[in-house]
Amino acid sequence: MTDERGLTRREVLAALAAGGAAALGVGALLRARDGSSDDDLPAEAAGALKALGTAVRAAHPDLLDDPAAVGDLDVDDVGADPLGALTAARPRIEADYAEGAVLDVQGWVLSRTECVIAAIAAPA
Amino acid sequence: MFRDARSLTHGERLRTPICVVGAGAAGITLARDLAARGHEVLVLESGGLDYEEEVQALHEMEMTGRLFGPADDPYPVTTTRLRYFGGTTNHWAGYCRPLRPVDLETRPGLARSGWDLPYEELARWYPAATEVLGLSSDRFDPAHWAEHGHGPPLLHDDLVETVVFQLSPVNFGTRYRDELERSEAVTVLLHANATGLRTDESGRRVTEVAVRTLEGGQATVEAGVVVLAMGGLENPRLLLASNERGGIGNDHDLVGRFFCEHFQHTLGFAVVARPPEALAAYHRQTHEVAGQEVTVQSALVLNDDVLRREGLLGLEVQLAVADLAGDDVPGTIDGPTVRDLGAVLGAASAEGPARSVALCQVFAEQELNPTSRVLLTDEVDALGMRKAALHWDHTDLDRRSIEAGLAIVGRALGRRGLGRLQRTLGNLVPGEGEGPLGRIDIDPARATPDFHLAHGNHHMCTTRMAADPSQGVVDLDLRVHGTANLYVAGSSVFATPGVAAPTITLVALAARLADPLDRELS
Repeated sequence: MTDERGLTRREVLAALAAGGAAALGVGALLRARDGSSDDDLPAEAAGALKALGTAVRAAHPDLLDDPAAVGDLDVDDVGADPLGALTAARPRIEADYAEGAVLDVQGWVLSRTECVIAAIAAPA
Repeated sequence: MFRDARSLTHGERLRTPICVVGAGAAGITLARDLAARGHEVLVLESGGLDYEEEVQALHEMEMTGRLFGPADDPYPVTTTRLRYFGGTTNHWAGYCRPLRPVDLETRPGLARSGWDLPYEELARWYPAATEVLGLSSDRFDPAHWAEHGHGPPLLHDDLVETVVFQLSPVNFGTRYRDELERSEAVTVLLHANATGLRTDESGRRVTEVAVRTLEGGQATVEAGVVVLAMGGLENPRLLLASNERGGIGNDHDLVGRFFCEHFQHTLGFAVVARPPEALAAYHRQTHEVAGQEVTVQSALVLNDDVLRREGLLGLEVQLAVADLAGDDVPGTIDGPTVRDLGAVLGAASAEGPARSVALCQVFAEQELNPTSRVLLTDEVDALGMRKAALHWDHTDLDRRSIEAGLAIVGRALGRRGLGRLQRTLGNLVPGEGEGPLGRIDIDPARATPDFHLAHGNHHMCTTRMAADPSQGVVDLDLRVHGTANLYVAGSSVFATPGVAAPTITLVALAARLADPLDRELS
């Protein structure tokens, strides 16, 4: 029996049952081996934020026209340093999740504020 | 002791104070309890001691409804349960977690909810069930298991809680075989298929159980009390097949209605700002408790107040965790990947970037739906008994609860900066990565509100318990309404399915049933 992704339920259960020990150890090794370091994270995050923003714009094309969503975010400031804006907006992002101010972006459950920042970061 | 119905004289009549039909978890639990109280019990088991193809084929039934499934993934109604000594515990996974009080509550927003049985009365029997199931404790909370070295919960707050289930090592067919073989009080009659119940003229007292073998043998069991313990599909089938007036206990056309399953399906991924080893509690872990090795696993459930406030059905989420930097990571066809969201999390949360990816295996409660039901067809099986058909539908609330419930899990992760969650509703396709998670790709364009839902192999509520005969088939003592001496055991008596695997609860209810039967027989 397979579901729509071609993965059998038995395989999923096996992963749930036994994947822990194997995945945990091997995963840690792989992380060490792939050469990634904390220095790479900002560039990686900036690219990821743009990718997310593109998806946000597609899913919610009017988001940046919604004053309630944009709030007091300065579009120019955010555009100049979107990662910094994201970091500065942490309390507001967490409040969005607490209050249910979330949007669906390709299935991701995301804070409205982080969606706005991502949309600004992405090319129009 | 064990006997075999194939060795009976054709037309032989057997007499017993109590006849239990079915030697699965419920039937064996009840038979052992009654024997311990000094009662003689005859247990009728359709199969033998091992799997037999021709016996299993007696489970074949027609399926209709929205959940019939795609052609390559139909509901495995024949194999989802097993028809030999030990019943479906011969292939069960062993997941045990009691229902919670909220599962038994009448909840706003649900058209039918609530058990008439007080939670305290059910909970009184869980310790007995834990013993039968070989569990070490009747404690299922994270705080208790933390004392035994089980890892900390990721979430445990007013949106999403962590629960712990134990895995039972007990296969009833092997664990209790020797005991029942040695028993003088319990006779297990193998290859004995109950094909009908006969009543006295009033129609209220069952006097006989008709028994047939696949070899053409016939026998009759005269019993003072009869208990049906054949599972959520066969219990209603036998009731419906047992008289010409629409079935025993069916004055209100409820026998077989409200069939419920637990939806069980991969419906999301989460990226989490914790390394995989910090989430180890959500995989199976074995701990030593008082010299006994116990396997437990944590899962996420919606907080009780959320269920009440939002009018949602219950939801449990099990996690399969991998390192986000490893190869065992799902891909994305077109859109931001799980790694992208993990990186974004690093800027958006003080917890830092995601370190883990967790597959979300959803386990969801179904709404009671009167159109989902077991019926009889005009076809007959190899025993000459009318075959059953199952019409199984889902409701809009079933799907809405899953979607909304996963969003709440996503919110719970987000408000603590712990992670982000993606619902993958029907858009998973085969991937080419390594490991179970890496063999999955997410194709966002394929998401559909009519996403496929798979099953948990649990058959419930088809002879539901209710004090009012117009609302259920059995009363709070599990006696069939309108009958004097006919009882039902098993998950078919659940008033609602709840959101925990049913075995521990059906064993608790079977243990409880020994009380009224003991009084009646004494």
